[in-house]
Amino acid sequence: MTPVPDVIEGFKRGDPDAVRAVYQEHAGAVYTVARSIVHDRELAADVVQQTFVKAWRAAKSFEGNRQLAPWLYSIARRTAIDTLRSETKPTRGGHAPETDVGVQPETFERTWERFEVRRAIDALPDGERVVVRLSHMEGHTHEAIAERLGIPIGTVKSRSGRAHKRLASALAHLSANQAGADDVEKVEDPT
Amino acid sequence: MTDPVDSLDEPSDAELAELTALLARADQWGDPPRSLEDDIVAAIAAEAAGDATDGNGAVAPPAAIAEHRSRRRWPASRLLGAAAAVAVVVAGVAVITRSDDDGGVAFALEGTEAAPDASAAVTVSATPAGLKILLDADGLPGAPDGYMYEAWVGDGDLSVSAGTFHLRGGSGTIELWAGVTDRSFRRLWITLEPIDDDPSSSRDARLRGEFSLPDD
Repeated sequence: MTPVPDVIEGFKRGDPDAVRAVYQEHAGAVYTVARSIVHDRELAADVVQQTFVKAWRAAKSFEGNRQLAPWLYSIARRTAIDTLRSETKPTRGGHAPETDVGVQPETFERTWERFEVRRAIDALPDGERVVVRLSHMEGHTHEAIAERLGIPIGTVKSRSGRAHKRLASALAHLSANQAGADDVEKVEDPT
Repeated sequence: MTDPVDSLDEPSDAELAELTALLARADQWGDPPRSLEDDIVAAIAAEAAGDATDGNGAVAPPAAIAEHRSRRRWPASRLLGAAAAVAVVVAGVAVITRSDDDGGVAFALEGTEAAPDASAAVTVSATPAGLKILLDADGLPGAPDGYMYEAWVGDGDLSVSAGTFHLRGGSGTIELWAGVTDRSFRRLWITLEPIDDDPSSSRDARLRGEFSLPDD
């Protein structure tokens, strides 16, 4: 899903409905990238906020025929790395940093992969997404999922199969040649 | 109407194995705090009005974020903005405390915007082992599957977990402990937390209040 031009134009103006539309489509993916770099939920939430505000500030230069997702990804990754570096500096009192985190973030390709996987997850229909979540993240069997959701096991299997077809199709470019990452590398952080 | 998925090929075993590996990562599924969307919309609206930056071009944190930061210090350039944000939030919190018979203090927690119908009566006592907290919640639903509630005490800059509970079996007095005795810990709040491998706060607060322990 890519925001229609009207949404992008509204986002540039700071229209609340357009900001919400862009946020709702991309927040999960931006948060995933942030967490993979800063390894802390609170910091990751800060990164999400900074990313969307920075994107709005820079949106005037965003051309409507470009893809919004790679542009947001570039801002998010850069913001997360800056936040991580800021957090690992000594504090004002001169004592050691409080957060014991690694200073080497994941590679560009790896975080792009996480971004794209999350976007594919978020694009699934609700009924399919919950089945995939319960199956892959929480490790439930189809029988347990059927009982938990109160639906026939055949429905669980059907949703699971359709979800996997959608995910495999949406993410085929990742295993093909990292073409998506190549596209993103051409986008400079506008902030 | 035909679903486009019907025309897609079935994934191969190798593709399914790769998908399984990608989807099993817990951090692939996390969501930002529910309040963040409103915070961002408000931050952009405020900046559009010309007054939201901290003077150095940095993004000023919204109140909800400023309030729940924990375990870390802020750069000096952001301290003043943070203090102002915290003050705004605290101004809306009832600070009603009284001493009880055991030398502790009784006070109320108010529901946040995420749980406007919730409240709690709390008693906090300083003991040789730490802070003993007795909490009776009202109007707070049982935590959804995969989630739990977590109590936190804080001094505005540092927060310490005081334990977890779920309330799925109904209400009752909940006994919580925090391993701190520093009297600067004057704030208590309850967050809804996903059950995962991340010990940090979700910042999804449901109840909050303040207390003041009596002097020795």
